Amino acid sequence: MSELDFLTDTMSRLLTGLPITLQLAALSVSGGLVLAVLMAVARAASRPAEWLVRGYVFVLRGTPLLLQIFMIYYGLGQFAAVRDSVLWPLLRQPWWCALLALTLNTAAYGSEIVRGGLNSVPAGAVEAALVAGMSRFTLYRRIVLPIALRQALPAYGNELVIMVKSTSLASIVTLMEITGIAYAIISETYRALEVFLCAGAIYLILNFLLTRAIAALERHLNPHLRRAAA
Amino acid sequence: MSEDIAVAVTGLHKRFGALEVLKGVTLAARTGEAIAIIGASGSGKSTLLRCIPLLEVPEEGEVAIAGETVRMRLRRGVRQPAEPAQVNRLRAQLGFVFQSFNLWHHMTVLQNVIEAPIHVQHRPRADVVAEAESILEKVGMADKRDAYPAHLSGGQQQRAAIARALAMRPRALLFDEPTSALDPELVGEVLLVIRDLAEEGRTMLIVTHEMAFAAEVSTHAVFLHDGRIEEQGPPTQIFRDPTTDRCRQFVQRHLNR
Ligand SMILES: Nc1ncnc2c1ncn2[C@@H]1O[C@H](COP(=O)(O)OP(=O)(O)O)[C@@H](O)[C@H]1O
Ligand SMILES: [Mg+2]
Repeated sequence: MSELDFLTDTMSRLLTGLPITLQLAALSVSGGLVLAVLMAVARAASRPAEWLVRGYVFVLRGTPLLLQIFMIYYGLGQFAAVRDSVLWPLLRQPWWCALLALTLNTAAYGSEIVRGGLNSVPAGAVEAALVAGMSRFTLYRRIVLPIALRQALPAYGNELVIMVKSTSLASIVTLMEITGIAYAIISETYRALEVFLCAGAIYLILNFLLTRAIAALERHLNPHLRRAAA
Repeated sequence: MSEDIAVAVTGLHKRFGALEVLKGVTLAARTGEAIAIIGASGSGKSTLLRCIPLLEVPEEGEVAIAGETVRMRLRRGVRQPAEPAQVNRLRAQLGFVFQSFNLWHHMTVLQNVIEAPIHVQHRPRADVVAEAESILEKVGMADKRDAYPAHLSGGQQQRAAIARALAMRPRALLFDEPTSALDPELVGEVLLVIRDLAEEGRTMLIVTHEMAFAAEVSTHAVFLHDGRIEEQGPPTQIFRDPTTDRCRQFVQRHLNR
């Protein structure tokens, strides 16, 4: 087999892991964003919630994601309550464990990013909404979150890029996403350098496309920050 | 309380920590009245105006909008409105114009104007847009309806903010120093708009340092000093012939600027 054949063969095998990588990234990031917004809003609204969220962020941000994946995949099964629960059929599968760990992890970082966005909302914008008679819910839905999330988008974009790369840790619990497949190919061929280069190239392209998409979204959401008048 | 009273405050006391900013203020605006509120910086004008839509909650005293008194309660020793829904409903009957405009910067001028009529008052979008366009016409902002606030001058932003307040079909308009944040050459265009509103017979409370303007548009004037109404009366009295020394000195100092 020629060098070129080996590379194209490797690439096409690695790409069969792409759906799992994309699923893990997309689902964890969407679920994480919902949790992040809920936590950031709850934290701003009540004292007990603030302490709960702070504790959550402290633990999830202060420990390695790899350990979190291990804890969920290997650790949860030790509890009879978990084994007997309706969720056990899911929690015994590596895919769901990896997704859960990634989601909980990005939610912690995300809640801090969204909190920064919330803090940047001008008090005057909130007062203008209040005097117009907006309820708390409408205020958040129409004014506060749209401003906060626009503000948070650049930092959130970073988090998305990190999450795409973090999906590679799922290989450690036997998931055959891109990195997992790379391991498998290397254990057959012992050609670590070429295979990892190919895998790296895929992540690089994914993140290139992702950052371009985020930049386009930023431009789309912020016509008011553009120089020329609309 | 009569339906004819658009806005009334009775015996307002407001403290910020140890500082007592309002020391028993009673004031009512009948429908069609334009009340000018003047007084030195720090005398409590903004606080008084902000108590009306409950942006500040007074420790004592009552606020009534369109004859309906805001119900209050004590929660852990802090006085607050008893029913947020009542406050929201009453707030939607007022238009508040801030010194610093406070437009929503992620929305165009038109989006700012139609936001609350659609999402608070739940009026049909097409009607709201049509009405918003005629209001923007009136304040001279029709050509800027699709512009974002960041691309507008201060005077244009304030006229957009006035349009936003008018779109609520308010029972009363509250202005808190609407021209104080503007470059001098932009003050006139905003005062012109407010003067038109006064001529229409709109109910207004206007906090301002523009004495000549206040004398011209108001039907009643109030001089606030140190958290109390020191003097009030028809504009001819307050701006030309005040009875108290403090008011006289204050008006003279500001008229000669
Ligand atoms: N949120 C606040 N916290 C603490 N002090 C305040 C607050 N708002 C106003 N004050 C104080 O209350 C006094 C009256 O303020 P204000 O009503 O803004 O006066 P004016 O509008 O007449 O200049 C000032 O001394 C001001 O510093
Ligand atoms: Mg003031």
